[in-house]
Amino acid sequence: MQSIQAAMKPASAKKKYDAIIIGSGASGGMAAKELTERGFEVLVLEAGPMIDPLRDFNMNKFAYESMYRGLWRPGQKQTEQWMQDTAGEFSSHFYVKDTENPYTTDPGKPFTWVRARIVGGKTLHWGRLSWRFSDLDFKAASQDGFDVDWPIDYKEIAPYYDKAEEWIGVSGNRDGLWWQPDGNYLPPMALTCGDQILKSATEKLGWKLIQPRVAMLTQVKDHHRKHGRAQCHYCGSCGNGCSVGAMFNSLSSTLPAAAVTGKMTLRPNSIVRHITVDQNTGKAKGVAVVDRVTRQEIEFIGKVVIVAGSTLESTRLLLNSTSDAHPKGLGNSSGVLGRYLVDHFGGTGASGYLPMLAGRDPVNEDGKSSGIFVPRFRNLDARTKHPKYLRGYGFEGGASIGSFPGNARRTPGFGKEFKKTVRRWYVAPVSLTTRANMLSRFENYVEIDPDGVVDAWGIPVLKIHIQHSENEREMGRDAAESATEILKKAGAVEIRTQNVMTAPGRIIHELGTARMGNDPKTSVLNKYNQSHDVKNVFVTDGAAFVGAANQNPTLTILALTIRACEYLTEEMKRGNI
Amino acid sequence: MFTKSKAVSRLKLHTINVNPSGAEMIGQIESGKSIWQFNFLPTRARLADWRLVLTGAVTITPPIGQPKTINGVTARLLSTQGSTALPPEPPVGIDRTLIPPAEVSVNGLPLTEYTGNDGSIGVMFLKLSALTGNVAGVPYDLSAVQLNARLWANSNLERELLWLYSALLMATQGPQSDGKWAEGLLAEINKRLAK
Ligand SMILES: Cc1cc2nc3c(=O)[nH]c(=O)nc-3n(C[C@H](O)[C@H](O)[C@H](O)COP(=O)(O)OP(=O)(O)OC[C@H]3O[C@@H](n4cnc5c(N)ncnc54)[C@H](O)[C@@H]3O)c2cc1C
Ligand code: SF4
Repeated sequence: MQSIQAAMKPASAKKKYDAIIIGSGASGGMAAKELTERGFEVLVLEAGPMIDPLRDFNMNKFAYESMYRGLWRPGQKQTEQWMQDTAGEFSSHFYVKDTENPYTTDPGKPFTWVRARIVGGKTLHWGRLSWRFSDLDFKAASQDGFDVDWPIDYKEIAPYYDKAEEWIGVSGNRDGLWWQPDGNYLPPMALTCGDQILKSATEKLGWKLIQPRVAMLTQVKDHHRKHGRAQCHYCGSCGNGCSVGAMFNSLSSTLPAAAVTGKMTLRPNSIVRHITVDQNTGKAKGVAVVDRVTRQEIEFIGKVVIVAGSTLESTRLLLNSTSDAHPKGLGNSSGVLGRYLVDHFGGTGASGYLPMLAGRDPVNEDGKSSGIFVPRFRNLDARTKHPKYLRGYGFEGGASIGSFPGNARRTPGFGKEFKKTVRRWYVAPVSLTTRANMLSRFENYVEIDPDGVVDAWGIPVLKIHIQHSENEREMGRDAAESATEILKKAGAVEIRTQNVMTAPGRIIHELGTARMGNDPKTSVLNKYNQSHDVKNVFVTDGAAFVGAANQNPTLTILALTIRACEYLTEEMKRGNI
Repeated sequence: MFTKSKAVSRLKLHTINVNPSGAEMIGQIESGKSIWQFNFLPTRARLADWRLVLTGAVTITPPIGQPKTINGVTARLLSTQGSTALPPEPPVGIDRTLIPPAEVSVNGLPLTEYTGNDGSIGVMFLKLSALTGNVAGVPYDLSAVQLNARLWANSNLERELLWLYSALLMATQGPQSDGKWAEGLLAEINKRLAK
């Protein structure tokens, strides 16, 4: 933290930085580390405030410490942060206020856009699941003919996955599944007793159940220790902010590494309005910023601009950066900028109780906070081909006791009998929920709101157009049925099949809209995240994704960021930028 | 929230967030430690180019001194944000022909939550007609304010209006827009605004 404080020196509007990085979340933080370590002088511009870990990280807070018992002041969530689905009373300060940061949608087609505007971005409260993609994902189009392949394959990106995992620290097992490639892991956490029951049921059906791979330090290595990161003590409150640095976030990991080089200037409260362009060359000149607190308008200049504001904020920024040279938005000669928006979907699945665990003594099982993962088992090969849909899904979930007896809400009755029933079943819940691949479709897109809606700073907002197709619905139905089958096999009782899909955005894996590709006519970025049109602009976050796969995306974002920074350095050396 | 306006020396206020209180929409304007109460009471609804336009009175109450009311202010719907909460029930006694059918699953395929007729409006973004001159001492340029009207309903009237505004949006800009349906809904809205 001290090193980061030192990096918050005044930024100079006169200086030409080697690189300006927009955003300090997963991608921006990694870009800052990678570029400063390669000798770049970087300016990191972050729209949100700096945080004070002692004040703002609430992993040690308990519901009883709050007047509202962790449930917020009545009406507060619904009038300030209604779209910030995962924000709680102890973590709301990590999330944007919807009152200041609007966006619009089509009638009857909602989109839940969960955002962080704070130094560290969404890494301060993310779920930490860290999976690699495989060629089943990168080369999906070659297998099923839908859409196009990524311009990269697994072999090309594997070394960068290695680097990302090594740096952030991922705990897990090497499970030997070709479509869910292994990395180098810190020791795994153990499955709970209920998870083991679920595992044996899943395996009886011919599918796999594995320990999730999570960016939490089950062991501390020297480079973690160097920046003050400590081992996880399994308090299970990661979503409220980890004050010991055991979970990966930019604030405790990549930003300190950038800061100690002495080459990073970090400027919080700096909302980038648009990227400025040199009218003679058509290249990016720098950025126009409004200070969130003082409202001062400032311009900064840089040789390169790295756009890492998170998928949709980055695309909004590019679309808002119009000029004579780029009338449809920066780097949008293809007209593809904003297109192919995807999110994973969830919602479908099943839940119930494991009777063999009912009535046991409560134990602390939610400390590890990672549950289980059932990797994809459909459309892996000819044998597993599903007749009704393309691609596939996995399941998150598990069987562990939480601190709040959620079953009380569904238990009828009152008084002594009610309490007895709640206590008996509270220790035996089991659930599986889908994490599924949504197909990338041209017709799911974002644009600058055509009716002129603006945010609190007068910056034009996005209009988001997205809906599920038949492919997702067929997959959703199959997932609900498979989850129910697993639970039945596990001997669960009171099984409830969930057959409604989450609204797009709700899984917080929004991806695409500035896709990479080899053809500048059909893609926005090349395979190194570099704009085809504007060579000194790189978009390193999830906007670059061609498809969603069904795995959580952040590890891939980190790997692509490292690769883009390496390429950028080489191109600079070669004098191509 | 505001930024420096180039045309005038005062800062330009871009947005005011309002919540419903009955048919009224209420919010605040802040400057330093001072707060002005902002109220917009629509009394009439109509359509212009298939967009909802509300006409009514804006009242601004300064921290010290008398409130100022401006009549005949219009608020024209720019766009909306879909809600991710269940919509309220249709108003009791409303003509059944105004109520669209709930979404039904086809061939047992799952539906998407809060989508189609199972959805509702979360926020209406409305452009206020220009408020000029000295408006109760508000130190900002109010010539182009966007009202962010969050329709979080807590009373019967608020629930009814949320349902009616949501249905009107589907009737005017949804996949099956329908002039007759829209007219019927407007009449129901006007009944409630006139109360
Ligand atoms: C509750 C939750 C659980 C999640 N769980 C997982 C998980 O288990 N696994 C997984 O892989 N992913 C998970 N995610 C998603 C993960 O957090 C994101 O994929 C990741 O943080 C994306 O990194 P990013 O750098 O693109 O964006 P962010 O981390 O969001 O950072 C972007 C930063 O850019 C800043 N910014 C935006 N616009 C501007 C601008 N105009 N000017 C200046 N700064 C700007 C923002 O303020 C923000 O700080 C989860 C997210 C949430 C909220
Ligand atoms: S469980 Fe581990 S990673 Fe999560 S907040 Fe606690 S110490 Fe940090």
